[in-house]
Amino acid sequence: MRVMQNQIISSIILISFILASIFIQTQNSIVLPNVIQDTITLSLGVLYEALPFVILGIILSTLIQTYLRQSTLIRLLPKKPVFRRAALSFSGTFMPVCECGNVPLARGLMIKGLRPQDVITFLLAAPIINPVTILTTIHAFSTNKNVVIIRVIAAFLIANIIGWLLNNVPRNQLITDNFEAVCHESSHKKIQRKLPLREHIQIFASRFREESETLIPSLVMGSVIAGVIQTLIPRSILTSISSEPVLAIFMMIVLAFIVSICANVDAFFALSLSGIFPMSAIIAFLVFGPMIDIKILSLLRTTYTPRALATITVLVFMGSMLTGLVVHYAI
Amino acid sequence: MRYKNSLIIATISFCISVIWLFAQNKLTLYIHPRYELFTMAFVSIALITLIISYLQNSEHQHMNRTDSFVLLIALLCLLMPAKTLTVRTAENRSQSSQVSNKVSGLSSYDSFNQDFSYFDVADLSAFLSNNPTKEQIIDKQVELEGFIFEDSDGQKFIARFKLSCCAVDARPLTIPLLKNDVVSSVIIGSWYRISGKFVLNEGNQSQYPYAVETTTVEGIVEPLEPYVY
Repeated sequence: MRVMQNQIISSIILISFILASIFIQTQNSIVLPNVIQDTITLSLGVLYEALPFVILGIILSTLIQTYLRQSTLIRLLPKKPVFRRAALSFSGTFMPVCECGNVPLARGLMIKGLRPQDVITFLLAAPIINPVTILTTIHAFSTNKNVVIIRVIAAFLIANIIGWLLNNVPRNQLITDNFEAVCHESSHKKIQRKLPLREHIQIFASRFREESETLIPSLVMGSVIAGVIQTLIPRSILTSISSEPVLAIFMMIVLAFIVSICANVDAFFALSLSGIFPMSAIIAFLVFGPMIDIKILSLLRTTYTPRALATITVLVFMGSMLTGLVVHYAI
Repeated sequence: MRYKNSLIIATISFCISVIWLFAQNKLTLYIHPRYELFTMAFVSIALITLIISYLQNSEHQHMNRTDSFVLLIALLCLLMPAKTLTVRTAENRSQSSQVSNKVSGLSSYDSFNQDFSYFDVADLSAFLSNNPTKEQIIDKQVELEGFIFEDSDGQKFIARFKLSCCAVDARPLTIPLLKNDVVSSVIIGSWYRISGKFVLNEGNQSQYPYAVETTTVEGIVEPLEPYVY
């Protein structure tokens, strides 16, 4: 009875807001200072762009959790960790979900028994090693085929080396206690097979909601932080030292972290800066951005510990810097 | 299982906001048009799924501060009217998007097509980035729509934002305007339709050798699709 009362009250509040929204938006009378308006627009841009990918990832994760047997998943992958991580690096080819959608998918894979270290390799490599990102990179840098080759190789190496470095780190140092509890609880749930369709839908809806309640707040927080930082930090600060190679590479990595753009189209964004930054810095941007940015870190915080995320971020940064330096001095 | 009603209300609000923006043709103020159908499809699936879950009576869990903040953001998304990026973002990002065009004796651009009248800001920005020769651009008539902004050196531009993915990667495409009495009357940040011709930019040749000498200026309402893609 009390639950129903809460639902009725919540529904009335929501409907009231919807009606108020229709009224206010038809008036179009709200004028905010430019800095606040831009913060709102940029934050919502990140949120609305990432939302469908996160939803897709949650759907795939829910299906994996509900219907995929752990034994099937283990059987599909190589036994040896180095080959298993290599195989996971290319799994983005079959599941090109975009980096924010990969997070709920990764959670589903870990719930089904994959090791956090192996899943990190998947999370880092899949956004770059997939047909959509590869094709858009080729299209954007059609006059320089080396860009896509270097990008893919660097992503594969960085993702697998980090997976290898973390191979012997205890599980409880990598994933949060909350997520460990989710994994433990899920391991006791048997896969439902012979049930009426209605019950399948209810189970799916229930698990979808559980994942949404974990991930959507993190997505919102990440979007707001990205919007605020982009409004407050003029891009000219980042582009003003583009002439010095090492600093240029560093600044483009910082820009990749801040701008939080989707890997499927970041090549076009990077292309627009190719007149200002050297190619080494552009490639560092294309390698770092899909792996780590404000939005992804916020989503990963639901699963991995802060210390693990800090370690991964530093390692990805080092790998991206090294890639940029190799491109600048050796190629 | 205990759930948080606040979070499901928040997520449902985000889904309704997206659908409402799409219905008003304003979703493209935030994301590239190529993502519209994809976004609508999955947001609709999420909305239906969450409503089904919401109707399954479950025990309620109290919300924390983060949940309250997310709910507040979600409800504000419903209330706030959709707006484009302002001239402040154009000023913030103008340096990173300016391709310095140089006066050149040679150009890779094929000047077979002499008619610029159908060129918009995006077309002309791309043309200028190819280092056109004087003969290819001087005295060419143009008519452009965009918003006005001014850089730190006092150079005025007519501009539009170009989007690759979403508002976060928007960068201003700009065409310099020659300083004259017509241009001095425009309001920074407002939308205009201007007509004129390309001339040598006497005041700022080192950075922008060519500029549009404006002959007529007409204030316009911001178009439904203010960005270029």
